[in-house]
Amino acid sequence: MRFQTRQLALFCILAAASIGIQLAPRPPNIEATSLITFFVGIIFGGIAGGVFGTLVMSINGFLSPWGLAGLNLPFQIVGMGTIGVAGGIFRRYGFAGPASRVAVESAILGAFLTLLYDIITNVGFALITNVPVVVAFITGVVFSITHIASNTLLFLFASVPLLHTFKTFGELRTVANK
Amino acid sequence: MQTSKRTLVFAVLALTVWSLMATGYAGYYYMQYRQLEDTLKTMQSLVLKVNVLINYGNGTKEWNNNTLVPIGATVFNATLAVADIDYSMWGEYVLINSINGIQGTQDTGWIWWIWNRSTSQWQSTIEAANKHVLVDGDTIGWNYQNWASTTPPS
Repeated sequence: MRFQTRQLALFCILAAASIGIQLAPRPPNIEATSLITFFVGIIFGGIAGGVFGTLVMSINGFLSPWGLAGLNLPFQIVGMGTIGVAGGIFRRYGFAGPASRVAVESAILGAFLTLLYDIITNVGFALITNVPVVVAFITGVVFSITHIASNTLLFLFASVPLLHTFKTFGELRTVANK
Repeated sequence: MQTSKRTLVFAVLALTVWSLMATGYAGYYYMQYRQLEDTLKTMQSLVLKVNVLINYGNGTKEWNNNTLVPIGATVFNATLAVADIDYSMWGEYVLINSINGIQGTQDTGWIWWIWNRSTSQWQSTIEAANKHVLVDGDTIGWNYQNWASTTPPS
């Protein structure tokens, strides 16, 4: 993970944007951090994506408008870090086909990664509160559905324009079009 | 990655999300159902089930079976639970002026009856509706009738 100045600046801008959105008053479980973290993974690789997710969630855990994350913070960090790493894995396979296919694939990935994040944080909640994991998952399923639906839509409509923008600025030159 | 393999991978991911969320949502509904069932069981020890008949005197009879009313409810409370009524107070006694818009007149009005379970017959009473406390399983009947009539509601 070795950054040029330009890349470091972009990383910092994306981190600031992500933290800013994360800390702004918003409905619960509607966020853009997953999308941005995923794209940081695509642009800079899995390690940078993981670091990005860790950084954003660490700050969010203390300053979130929804209160302190407390003991669930490590699980939120792992969850978001995983999304960043997944971006790095997705980078290896590139983007295939027309824009509509890329949008649909991104939406599916967004849904899956959000589900993964929710499962990880629910496991954390279950361990902290000493309730069975399945019960924790079922209890939070309405929030999960909101989270997954909003992220699916966000990935569906924002991925292609973001890819186009990063390509225009030359940040995606390392991503193979396989 | 080959296009067909790639499609398959994304299809599996989408199905995984769908199946887990559908299962979770079904579990959520099941938990809600169980909670409501428990609440209902708790409530059943605090409520009575009564049957309320409203006979409009023109051939129309309206049964409100298994109406839930709190313990200690009177005929008046049970009637309030199933119908839109207009009433006036005579001291501490309630007088029903109309039920569901059918107003009493000088000759006819609303009289309530109660089903006597031991004799299996309707029984009229001069008690005010707000003075007769119901017990579980009671059946009451409101009859729109001539004040002098002794015809039961059904």
